[in-house]
Amino acid sequence: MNQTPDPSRQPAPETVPASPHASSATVAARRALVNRPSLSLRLHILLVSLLTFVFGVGVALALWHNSQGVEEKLGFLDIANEFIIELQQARRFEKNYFLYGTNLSEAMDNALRAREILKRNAEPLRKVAGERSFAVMLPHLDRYQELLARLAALDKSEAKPDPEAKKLIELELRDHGHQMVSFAENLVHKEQDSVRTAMASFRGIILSSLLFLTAFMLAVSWMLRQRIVGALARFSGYAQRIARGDYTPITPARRYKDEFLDLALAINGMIDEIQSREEVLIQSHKMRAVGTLTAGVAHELNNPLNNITLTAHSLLEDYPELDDAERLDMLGDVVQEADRARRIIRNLLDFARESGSQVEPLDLARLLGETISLAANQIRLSGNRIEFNATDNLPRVHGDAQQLQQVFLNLILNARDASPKGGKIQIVVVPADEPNYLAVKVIDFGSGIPDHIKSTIFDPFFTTKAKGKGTGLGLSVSQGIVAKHGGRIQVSSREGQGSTFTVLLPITTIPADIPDMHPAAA
Amino acid sequence: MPIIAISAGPFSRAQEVARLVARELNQPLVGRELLAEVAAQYQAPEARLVEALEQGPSLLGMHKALRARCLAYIEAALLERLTADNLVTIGLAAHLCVAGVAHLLKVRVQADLDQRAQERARRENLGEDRARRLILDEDKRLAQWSQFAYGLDEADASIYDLVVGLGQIEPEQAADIIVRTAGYRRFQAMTYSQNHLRELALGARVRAALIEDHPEATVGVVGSEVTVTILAVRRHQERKVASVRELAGGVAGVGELKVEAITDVFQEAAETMR
Amino acid sequence: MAEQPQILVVDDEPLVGKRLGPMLERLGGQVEVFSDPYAALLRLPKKHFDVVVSDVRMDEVTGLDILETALKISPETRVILITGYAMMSLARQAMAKGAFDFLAKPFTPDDLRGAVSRALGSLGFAVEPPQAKEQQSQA
Repeated sequence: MNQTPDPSRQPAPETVPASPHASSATVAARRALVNRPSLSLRLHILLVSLLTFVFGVGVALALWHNSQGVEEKLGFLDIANEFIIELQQARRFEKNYFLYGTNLSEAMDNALRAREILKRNAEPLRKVAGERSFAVMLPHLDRYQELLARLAALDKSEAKPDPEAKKLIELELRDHGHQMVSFAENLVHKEQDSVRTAMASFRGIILSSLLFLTAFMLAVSWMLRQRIVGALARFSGYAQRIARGDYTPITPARRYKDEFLDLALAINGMIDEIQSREEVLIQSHKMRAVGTLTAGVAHELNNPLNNITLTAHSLLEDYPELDDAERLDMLGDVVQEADRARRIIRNLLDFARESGSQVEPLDLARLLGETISLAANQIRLSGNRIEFNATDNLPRVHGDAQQLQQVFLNLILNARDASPKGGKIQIVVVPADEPNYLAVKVIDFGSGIPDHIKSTIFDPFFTTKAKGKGTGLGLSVSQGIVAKHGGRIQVSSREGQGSTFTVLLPITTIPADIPDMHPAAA
Repeated sequence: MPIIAISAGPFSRAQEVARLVARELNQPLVGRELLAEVAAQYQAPEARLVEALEQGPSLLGMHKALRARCLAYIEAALLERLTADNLVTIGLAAHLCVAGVAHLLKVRVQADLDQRAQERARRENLGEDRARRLILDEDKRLAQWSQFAYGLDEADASIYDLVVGLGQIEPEQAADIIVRTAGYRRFQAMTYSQNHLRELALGARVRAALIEDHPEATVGVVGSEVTVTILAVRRHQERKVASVRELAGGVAGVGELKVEAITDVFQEAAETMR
Repeated sequence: MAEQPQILVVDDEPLVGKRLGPMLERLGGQVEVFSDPYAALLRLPKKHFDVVVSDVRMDEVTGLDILETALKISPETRVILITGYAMMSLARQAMAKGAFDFLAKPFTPDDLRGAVSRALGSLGFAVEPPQAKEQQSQA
């Protein structure tokens, strides 16, 4: 895999090996495709699931926390209620004492129990009610107990207690008892409210998380859909583009690479493969044309060869009688004819040679002149003649001389096959009706193309020639070449009168985008 | 006068026609008896030569290389005779192995099946039905043979200049037709066709000289210039070229000799795999 | 009939005439060379030629036209056709139309001298036998 870029920069898995035919364009495209940060669909889905999970956990924790708060509050309410009951009990006994003179010890017991409750639950109470309310509550209770104790002591020590002092203690006792109870009740009310709020927030959490989840899932599935459906649409676009003969490799359409990377690489590999197959097809078709031409060229060679043979023999036979000027003249003739033979062969070999695509500005008139001279003998052999006209000073076209020559040669040989013996083949190069295009017209005066096959003549393997005479690929290959040059081939034909094949090629102001056909040697 | 090559299926009375034509034109008739000369010249058993001219391809049949050798020897001897003389030839596949010679008149003599069956029945003392069956078998075999050995169907009329049917005319009349046709100007010898035939003959001689050691060699001839192309792995090329030079250089008529070696990449690949 | 054989050479390759002219003159002939076949065609009715050597494939006028015209004017004329496009069918066609001989390019001077000598011999001209290494056998 000599075409892949530096592996250290490219940690992506090599699922699609670079094709041996990889062109530099696809290698570049491959690099661009691979050297993107990775955000696979898998990761995308995983991230989404993770986020959903985290969110769920968050919600659960929130609910947990909330419910714990509620539980604490409920516990507090229980304690507070117990406390309140003890206090109320104490106060009832206290009241009874003052009204009916009953025993005080029970009230004291109750107060003591209330105190114990406070003490026992100091921690949770402090947490729920706060330090301040605890701090308020405890002195009240202390004072209340102290007063009760004082009252009891008063009763014991003096046989007849001082009603004034008793009255004072009673008032203070009442005040403290009342404050304690109302403070506790207040607290209970407050806590009950807060439990109610907590219950409401439960509902809130559940409702909002539901709403959020729905929105999140919608957003995520929309993104995924965009990624998958969008990619499918893009790839079907690529397929159509490739089918049209546009072999530009796929380049990144998004910032992140994902599972479609493999597909893109596979398609780029396929493009390379198709391109190299097409090259092989073009080349093999060219060799067929060369085969057709060879007979004509071999015959054409006989003329210079004959001239050389005759001249050399004359020189050999008459050498002593010839003067220097005559000898030099003869040698000159030999050299000249050898040159002519060489030119004939080179012309054919130039065309036959397998060469890289070379795009350059071309003088179409000159190119056609060369093509015609290549085919001239073949045309003459079959008794036809070519009439060639080109408008002067035509602008150049951008293209591959060999490939275009192949197209024209193919059209000329087709025209020859369609022509009756002695028929004329007319070739003209003119500016096309369409601005910025040149038109090469190859006109024959043969039998024409029947209407019912007009639409199929560019199809691969369609041929009207005898079995073994044509592959049926000529026009299809030609059309491929011309399309790659940004042009097209048009046909007009009238049965019995002949056909005109028009090759339209864009002039060089808009250079045709011809993909580089040959990878740089690796 | 042109050279006349007559071809026919077995038991078509073509020998008779050929004899008559030769007598009429006062030309020698060259048939299978040439094989004795070939056998002597190239030290090949005559039976093998006959087999090479008749046997179709079969699993247990003649080895391909041996057949090619026998045919090369026969061709060389036949073409030698054709360049030397105007003659009538039959039974030596001249109609298949000589191509493009304007003054070689290729004639197919076509008897109908009944006549051939009767002829065979009479000569070999068989029932007519059996004779017919044997003849059909043999025709099929010969068609396979000509297809295999020369890539042509011997019974295809389009490879002949003249097809004479014996169904309605006598051998004498057939011979007359052939002689008259041979008199047409278009079949007369000319420098071009004679040179061409001479080149073919030289090529056949060179091939016959090479075929035992270099069966894959192809021979091209222009004038007296001979080009031999061989296939060899690179390290054997020098030795093989020298061997070709020695063998072909000794053939009569060879002027300039060019030997070209094409590298046998498959063999080379096969050897490196070993 | 003139004492000296009259020979016409037609080939649109000027070098062919340039070489064949002197070569055939040395055989004893009086040679006219044309590289324009049309001019040669016009020349034919004006003068009797014993031997015509013509290329077959030329633009406009072909060697077969020359052959037909020459034989129409004088059936005795020996026409030798030469061509770079030799094929059996063309050779037979030329012979059928009355060509005396048919040569394929490239030919050696001996080939041509042989053909021309035989043509002249068949007309009763005494020609010194060409210095051919390989004498052609002709029935």
